Amino acid sequence: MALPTQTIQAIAVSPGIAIGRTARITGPTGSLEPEPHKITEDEIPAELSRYNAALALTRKQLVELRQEVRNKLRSQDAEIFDAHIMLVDDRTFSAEVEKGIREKLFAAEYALYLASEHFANVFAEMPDEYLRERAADIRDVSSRILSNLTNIHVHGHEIDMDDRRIIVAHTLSPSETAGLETGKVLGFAVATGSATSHTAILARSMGLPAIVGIPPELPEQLSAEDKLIIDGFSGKLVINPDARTEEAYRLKKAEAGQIRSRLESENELRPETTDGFIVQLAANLDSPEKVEEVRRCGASGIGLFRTEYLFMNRPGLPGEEEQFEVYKKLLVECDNAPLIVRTLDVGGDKFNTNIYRASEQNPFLGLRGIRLCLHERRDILETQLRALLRAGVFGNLKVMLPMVSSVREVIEVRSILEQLQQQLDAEGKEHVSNLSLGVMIETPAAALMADRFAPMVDFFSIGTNDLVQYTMAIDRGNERVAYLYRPSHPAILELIRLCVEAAQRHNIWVSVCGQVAADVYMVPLLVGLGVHELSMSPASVAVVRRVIRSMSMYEMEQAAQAALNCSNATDALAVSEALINLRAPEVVNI
Amino acid sequence: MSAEEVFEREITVGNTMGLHARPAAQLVRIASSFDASMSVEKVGDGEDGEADCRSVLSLLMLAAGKGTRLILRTSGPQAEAAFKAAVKFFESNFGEDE
Repeated sequence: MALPTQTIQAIAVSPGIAIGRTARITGPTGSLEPEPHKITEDEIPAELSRYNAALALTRKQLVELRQEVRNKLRSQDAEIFDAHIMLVDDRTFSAEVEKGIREKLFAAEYALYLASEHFANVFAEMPDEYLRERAADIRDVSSRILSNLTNIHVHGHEIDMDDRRIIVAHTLSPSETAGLETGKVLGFAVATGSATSHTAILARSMGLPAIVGIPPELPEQLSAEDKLIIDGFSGKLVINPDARTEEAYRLKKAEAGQIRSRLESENELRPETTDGFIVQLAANLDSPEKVEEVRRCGASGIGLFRTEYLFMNRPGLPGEEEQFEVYKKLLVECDNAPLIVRTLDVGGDKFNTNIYRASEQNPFLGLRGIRLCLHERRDILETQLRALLRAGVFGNLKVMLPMVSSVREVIEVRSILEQLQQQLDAEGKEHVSNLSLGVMIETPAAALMADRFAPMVDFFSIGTNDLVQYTMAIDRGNERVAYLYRPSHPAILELIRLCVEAAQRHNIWVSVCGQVAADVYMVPLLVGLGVHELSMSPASVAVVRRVIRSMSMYEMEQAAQAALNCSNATDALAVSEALINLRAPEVVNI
Repeated sequence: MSAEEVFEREITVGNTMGLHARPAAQLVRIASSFDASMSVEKVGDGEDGEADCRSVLSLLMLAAGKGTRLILRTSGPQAEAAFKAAVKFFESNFGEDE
């Protein structure tokens, strides 16, 4: 039954408007417990062959899915499916199911369910985090086999999407998003997550609207007939809109589309202010396959390549050669445009059980980023730096360190780099000798000490997502303090000012690579403060270029100065809003 | 050589990550490429600690972390070749921890 017309306020995490019907993704764990149907002894052979047919079909589907993911995404994403295929082939698992059919005379569905629960529970009890997580794989595969046995489709990617739909889910795992046919998705509405969660990053990189924080019970209540509107600007979700509302949104969407395509036709134009200052616009890259998008949007280079993705969703760690090949290929594709690689940043919410096992009370204040690499996993850092030193000869490589809070950390990395260079010399391996090294400014300590950091590095890159979180002392995932997440807060602007001034004194440059670099209202403030480069998702470059081309450096400096003198985030933002409304009103709401 | 002959020796899991999914999968591939049965047993665990090397689930359930002592056992027509291949795989630390 369709839900009544209503509007829900959620949180916008990727801009745009989507209008369409619902495709619901229910959780991957087979919460569908089958009925414990019994069979007679005569029925055993038929039941066994039914099970084997379902296994064969599942195997075929998984092989196809793996191929599809390989074509669409990175090969590492496809490895999840290797593990699943292995489980389908597993003798111990099948033997347990057969035992349920032969000895306990259960129908295949229930025998499968029992076996799955048996093994999943064994794994769930294991002390090792990595093995514990395999319980989810077992349930995932079992619910696939079960759906083939009973023809109930429980997986998102098996939802019959004859037309393009809006994906609604409680939570969306990376493997579920990977399984979606991207051409058939209009947008995302998810209950859990934040602007920096996987779904948000993925939606932005696909240029699709997304909102998070919808009521957790909503996905269960919606059905395929429910029509939805996602407003990725305001965070609104409209369920079964009336004709007038829908028409209004269609208009808004069409206008946004027109402006956007006009802006994208300006990709060749220089990001130059009306008084002749050039601001570098770079793109953030989360997976090496997306380099083509960067080229299309007219970015001057890659301002942030997150290397965590090389380490995720896989057993074991990527070796030096594997990393070297990835970096080298990217550098060649960048064709001498700058590529800024961030060394591994795990810990905090970027959890990776291969590397990081300790449980901490406050992981965001714990051993993450460069701290983890220097104190516990120096081996990982060394492998990565060796690969980077070697790849550096193929282009314009810059490397930056995440989560820096003390000068000591840079000194240590510099000394590691020196040792690695000697090693590489001794091995006769080609490498760069003066690797361009920068630090991420993500902690208030780093910003306050910018003057001390500046002589030791070649650039600063301000990671605003974390800088806001640490400066305002708020947990990004905690909705109760979300109202304090305000990048325009004068405290943040002041820290950015300190960095820029220290950089100017030491003749190094400053980039901003957080989500605010794509926030049209923040752009005049950042540029006015003296930031040299903004790095954002490729989809945002066109809009930011227009903002920069619409106003003068003088106006932006005036705005930044006025914002710095404000006493709160709202007033500071109002300064910038006034400038945008005056000079570039077309960029609001696209 | 009789088909009944059993090859057996103790080995230790040497890599940092232990016998996790990737090496387990590789061991299944090795075991499946010979006409032989192959098992590993946790030293001291008796029957409960025995895993069929052709089943990745069974191997993972051993939860054999670094330093775990295992008894590798092969039997069947190609027992010797299977045994050698498996020993080599274990001794290479599964190709990890260069």
